[in-house]
Amino acid sequence: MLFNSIIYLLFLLFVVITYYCFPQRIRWIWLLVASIGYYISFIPIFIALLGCGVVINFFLAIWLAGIPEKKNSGSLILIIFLNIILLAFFKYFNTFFPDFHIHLTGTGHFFPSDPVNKMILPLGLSYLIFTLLSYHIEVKRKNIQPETHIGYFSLYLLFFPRIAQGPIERPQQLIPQLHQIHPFNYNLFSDGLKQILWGFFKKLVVADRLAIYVNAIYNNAEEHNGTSLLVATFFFAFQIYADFSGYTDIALGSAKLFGFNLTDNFKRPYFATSIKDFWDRWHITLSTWLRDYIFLPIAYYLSNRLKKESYLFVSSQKWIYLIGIMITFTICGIWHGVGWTYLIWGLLFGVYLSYANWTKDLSKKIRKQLHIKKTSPYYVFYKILLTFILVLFTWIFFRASSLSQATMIIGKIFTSSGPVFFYSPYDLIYGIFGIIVLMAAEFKREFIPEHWTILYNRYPAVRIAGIVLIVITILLTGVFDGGQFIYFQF
Amino acid sequence: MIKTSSKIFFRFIGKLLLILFIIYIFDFGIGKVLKVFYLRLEDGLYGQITYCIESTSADVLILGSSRANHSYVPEVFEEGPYTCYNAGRDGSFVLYNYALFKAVITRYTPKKIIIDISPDELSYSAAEYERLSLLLPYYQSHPEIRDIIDLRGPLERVKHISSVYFYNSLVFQVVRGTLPNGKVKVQDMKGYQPLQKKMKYDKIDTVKIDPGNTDENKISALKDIISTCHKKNIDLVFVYSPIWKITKDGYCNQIITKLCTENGIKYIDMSNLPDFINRPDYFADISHLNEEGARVFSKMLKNRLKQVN
Amino acid sequence: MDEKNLIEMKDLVLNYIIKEYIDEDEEKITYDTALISSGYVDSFSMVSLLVFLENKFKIKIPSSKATPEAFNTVNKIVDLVNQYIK
Repeated sequence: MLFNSIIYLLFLLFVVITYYCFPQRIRWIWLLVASIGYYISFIPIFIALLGCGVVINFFLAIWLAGIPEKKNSGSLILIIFLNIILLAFFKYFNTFFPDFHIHLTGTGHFFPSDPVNKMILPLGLSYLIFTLLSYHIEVKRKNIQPETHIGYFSLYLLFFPRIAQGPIERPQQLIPQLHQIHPFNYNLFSDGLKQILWGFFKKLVVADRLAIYVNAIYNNAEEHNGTSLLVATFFFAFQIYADFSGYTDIALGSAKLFGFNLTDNFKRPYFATSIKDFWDRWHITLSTWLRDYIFLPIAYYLSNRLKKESYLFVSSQKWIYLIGIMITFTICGIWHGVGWTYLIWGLLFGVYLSYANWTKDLSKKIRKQLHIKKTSPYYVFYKILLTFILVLFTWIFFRASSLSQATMIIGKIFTSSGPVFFYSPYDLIYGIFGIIVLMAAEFKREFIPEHWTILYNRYPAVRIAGIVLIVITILLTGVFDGGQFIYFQF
Repeated sequence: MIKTSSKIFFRFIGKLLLILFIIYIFDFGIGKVLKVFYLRLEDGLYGQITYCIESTSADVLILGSSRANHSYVPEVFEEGPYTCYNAGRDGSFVLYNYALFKAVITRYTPKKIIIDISPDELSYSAAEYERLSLLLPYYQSHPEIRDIIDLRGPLERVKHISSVYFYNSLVFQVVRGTLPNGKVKVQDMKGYQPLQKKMKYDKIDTVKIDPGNTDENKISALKDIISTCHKKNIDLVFVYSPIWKITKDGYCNQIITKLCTENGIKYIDMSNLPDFINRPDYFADISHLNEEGARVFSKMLKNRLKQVN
Repeated sequence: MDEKNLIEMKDLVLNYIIKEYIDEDEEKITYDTALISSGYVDSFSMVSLLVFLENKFKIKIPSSKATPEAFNTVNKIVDLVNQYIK
């Protein structure tokens, strides 16, 4: 079941109430059962695949831990290889075997791709594989002991709040929590509910509303002028943010109801002052995963290999950064999807970051010459705006259905202008309303966190008023006819 | 230990219930306010729906989708003392019209009802069920249409706990509507919306309409409309208005023709008449007539109806 | 490792970090300031920091130990370095 559905709320209610009725020692079993049930509600067939993957990896990790550190690299590579094959198989199957048909009964209507003609990507497989890889790497580095209880191991991987779209949880974060007893914690539970509520707001009021306009324009891009395409791209930037971070809020909030703290994935990314800052705020568990397991190993390896101070008049540090970043973001792009557009999307960030790194000293010099303080509000505003525009450009590739469509859209944005298209002006009005409310709340959190709190205000009347207002706003302006979480297919 | 934990738990449940209750109170109150202001909307899309459901007493009522809305000129069908109203609506098909029909019938009995229907309208379309949301503001005061709106989904009734939900995606329109503006009031146009465009055309397409999956709800709806019209002695006519596509026969007309023959209902198929297929300038786009074409069509239909009688 | 040497090491590391990564108009950094998690030091710049440490103290730190957590404060860095000094 999708997160933004009444069924999910009922499911959650049922699981939560029964969870606290069970004796604390066996609650993990109930959570595991619920998680498997949740997964089955999507596609029953793949639970078998999932089960095999979980069991095999469980034993692989124990085997890996038994090998001394100096000699276990080869084993790790084998394990990584096996898991990546599985991921690649599902992700790229349709590209290489487009004629293969698979018929699944009872698959429901929520997958963007036609389930009859394509092999469906099992829900959350990409997230699962990355979680597994991080688990094995930490075992290999002797940072953790492998989990010896297959029940807890399964729950670590299949915990339902995070199974669909992450966050990618490190073993050190989640596994110890699974072993602990979690008595009913009033504050955490209340936090969880508030977070779920806000997640629903983002999803229903902002993401699903903007999706209507974005889909109308992008699915018919040839017919629309540059201005409409620009507006649609601008909307898409907020749609994808609200969609993914709304999902994350519901996931984190749900986990809190059971007493678990998962890692937050977002930190107000559109207030980032640089692309590097953006990736410290967007899909944080993915970017730290890439940093720790791809970028840093490559960078260290190169730094040991490149003995000279500089090559071609450029310092070897810069070369290391360039190579490391380009590889990392190539992987980032590919992870998000099959197709040139995702690859270009990732590479663009690589280019942005490399450029910033190579011109770091130059820009510092320029800033000093112009006597601009780093903390000056004008400078900060300029940097936020510039970063947003750079990211906006990359979203064109992410949303476009093909590279040629993306280039066509970019061409139109710069050449053809005209009136903004709408079927009804209210499509735009409700969309803009959602963006304004969301960004106002984020602005407050970013710049004036201690004041004007509503949901955490010390007066209960203010808190209750805030909750009532959010609920009524969702009921009045939310889209209830079923939108999709964009990151589902990963 | 356990005792205090339980106490905390129950205290929490108590607070939660209190908050839910407060939400319910506000929801109820705001819903009432919105209802008043919504029903006051006189023009635009919502004003027209309200007029049709609550006020019209036209002798001739035209139901259908955007094709009805843009093709039937009410003045043409008004003769002597008889009045006509065009209740066609963009994007709204059989089930929506069925609801309108039921709401109207509880108030008065029209003399004649013309339903514009295309054969491919009978297949299942999820979008059409979503479109029934146009009728949500009338749910509470019109029990006769509740069954139809509930077809939107099994959990639809749960959403109806909220009074405010019925005005979902309407609040800005309601605010706008209460501000003074100079739009044409709905009675003046009698529901008809003329299109001025002349379409850019190429070659006319030939389309074979597949059987597809027929939506049984729609068939039942049509059957119920037919039997009610029989009981109340309403002259019911199904019309397939002109379309700039050659729709090949076969499945095309079977269901409707069968339904009409079995029940003695007139079905007038004017979809591919040479008078229209050879006049692309009568069309605003391939599915809709423009104002010129609509007048020609309306006059032609009126004559046909006289002949059939 | 006596107190004086420890402080010398910490100062060495602190000064390098200030010179390389911190702007003059930014706040003062101490031995306990969170460097990476508060964004003073780019997590990607850890590589050059590692090179500096290995060259300066003539040690070899395995890259798997050179994590953002281990490099987050001057105190932690010096602890890590001390693990590998013969």
